[in-house]
Amino acid sequence: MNPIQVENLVKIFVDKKQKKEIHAVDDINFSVKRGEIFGFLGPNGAGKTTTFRMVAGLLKPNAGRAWVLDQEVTADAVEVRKNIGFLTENHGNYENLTLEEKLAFFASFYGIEGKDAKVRIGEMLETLGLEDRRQQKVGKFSRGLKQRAAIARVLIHNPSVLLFDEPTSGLDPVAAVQVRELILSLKEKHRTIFINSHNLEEVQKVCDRVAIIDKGKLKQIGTAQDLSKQLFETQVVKCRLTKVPSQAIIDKLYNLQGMKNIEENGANLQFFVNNAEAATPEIVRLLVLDGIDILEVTRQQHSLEDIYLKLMRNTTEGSG
Amino acid sequence: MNVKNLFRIVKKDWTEIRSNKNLLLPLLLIPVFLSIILPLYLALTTLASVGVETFLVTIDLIIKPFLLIIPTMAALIIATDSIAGEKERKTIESFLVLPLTDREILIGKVLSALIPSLASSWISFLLMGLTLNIAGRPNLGTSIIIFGDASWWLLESLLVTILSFMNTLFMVLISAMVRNVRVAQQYALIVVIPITGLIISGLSQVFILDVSGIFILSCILGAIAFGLAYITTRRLNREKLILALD
Repeated sequence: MNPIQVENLVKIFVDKKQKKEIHAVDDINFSVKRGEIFGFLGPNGAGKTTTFRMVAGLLKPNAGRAWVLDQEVTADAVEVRKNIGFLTENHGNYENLTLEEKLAFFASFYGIEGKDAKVRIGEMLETLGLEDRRQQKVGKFSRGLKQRAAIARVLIHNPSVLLFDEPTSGLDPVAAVQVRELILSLKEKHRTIFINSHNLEEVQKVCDRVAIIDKGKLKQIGTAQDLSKQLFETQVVKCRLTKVPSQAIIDKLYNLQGMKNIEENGANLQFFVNNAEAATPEIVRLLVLDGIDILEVTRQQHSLEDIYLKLMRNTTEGSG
Repeated sequence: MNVKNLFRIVKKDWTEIRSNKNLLLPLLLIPVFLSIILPLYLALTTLASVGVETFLVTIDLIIKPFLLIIPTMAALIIATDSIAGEKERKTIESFLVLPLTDREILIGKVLSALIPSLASSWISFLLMGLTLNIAGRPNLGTSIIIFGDASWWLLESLLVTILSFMNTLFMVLISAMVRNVRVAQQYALIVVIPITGLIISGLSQVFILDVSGIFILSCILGAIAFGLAYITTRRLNREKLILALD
């Protein structure tokens, strides 16, 4: 079983004012592999945080089950929480405590106390570049430092499964990059990481796979490349050549299998194909055989943003 | 239940209170005023003029009910902050992620307020007794007041304990139900009203805190505390606390 496994998870809230049920999470299935960074994308109210909270055993599902490290969450949520590190979106710090007091408080619940706690806190602070802040009150930290302090709290018991809910929300670009680098360094240490984010660029940069959720339902799941293939019928291959090709060559290129369209701009060509992976070698072979030197070939990837926006548009059109 | 976890919560909450002047100052000033300054004033100004017998009746009517005010104020300051404060400072979700059961959270939070309430009440009781006996020594002769009266000990050990428990439960419950400390304190003031009534009824000699009065009141408050404990264990759970944040 994967470190995080979710099967047919459902969470229904009751809107008492409007007297109706809201399916915040509606029969979703996914798993996060060991050592993987898995991203959860979706608009506000899509069900991302509710899913996170159910995986962490903070909310009980109405149906379905979730497992973390082979332990069923609803069966023993306390045991599950011992093995996860959860950076919640609103993770205010205990600002009247010093950083050491705060970390010692959290560490104590995982059985790390006394000398062990001092050593572990020292290690964490060194890893996160917070050694000099040990005796300072957390309330005096900048936002970026507070975020690092919060991450230190999440990592204090060395959990192998990490849940990060909006880990760079509200951070300046430099602090956000630092947090991303930290997340990637945790992957190198084979941690299983589940990230919930609005930031498409961030998810694209750090996640191995993504799931896109909307109105409680999982829309797509896979790598950005997989999703691109599933969602976009046409892929683009760009070629920069040394000279403008003849009409005869263009006609030959049009006859290639899966070729949909060619846009010419002097010596720059754009090929719209069904499958860029299969078409690229064929295009290059034809051009080279006809004596045209190629300066550059690029396959235009659909960004996660393209994928996300397309999915969201489809949803809007579908519901409209 | 992991008892160590309860005291870890108490330790953290107490460390926070100690480093927060807004909480710590009233927590110290109220007992100092009610257990040292006021008794000292009474002992120095009235004892010589009214005589020992009348003075004893006076402190029984005026000073004794203050022993109920001290733990109530301590609970008001600490217990209302216990969960509402965590919500206000946005630390509640990080706290709820800890490997604690709902019951450990509830009992830990109740103990965080109950222990300082009882401690402040006992310290105030001892200081009050010492202040009156020392300041009144020239007029009291060999007799010892307060410490020699069973009703004071009964009040302190039984009524104050039950009252503190009831107050703390009520205030933690309120603290869990509202979004910020100020609102929690406004609701929590409800418990100050009957105690004020008790002071007034004592002054007017309608209800006197003698041994039987203390027993009757303890039974009533004990029943209320029992009901509150039932409501609080049902009301206070992780899911409700989490959902109240959204």
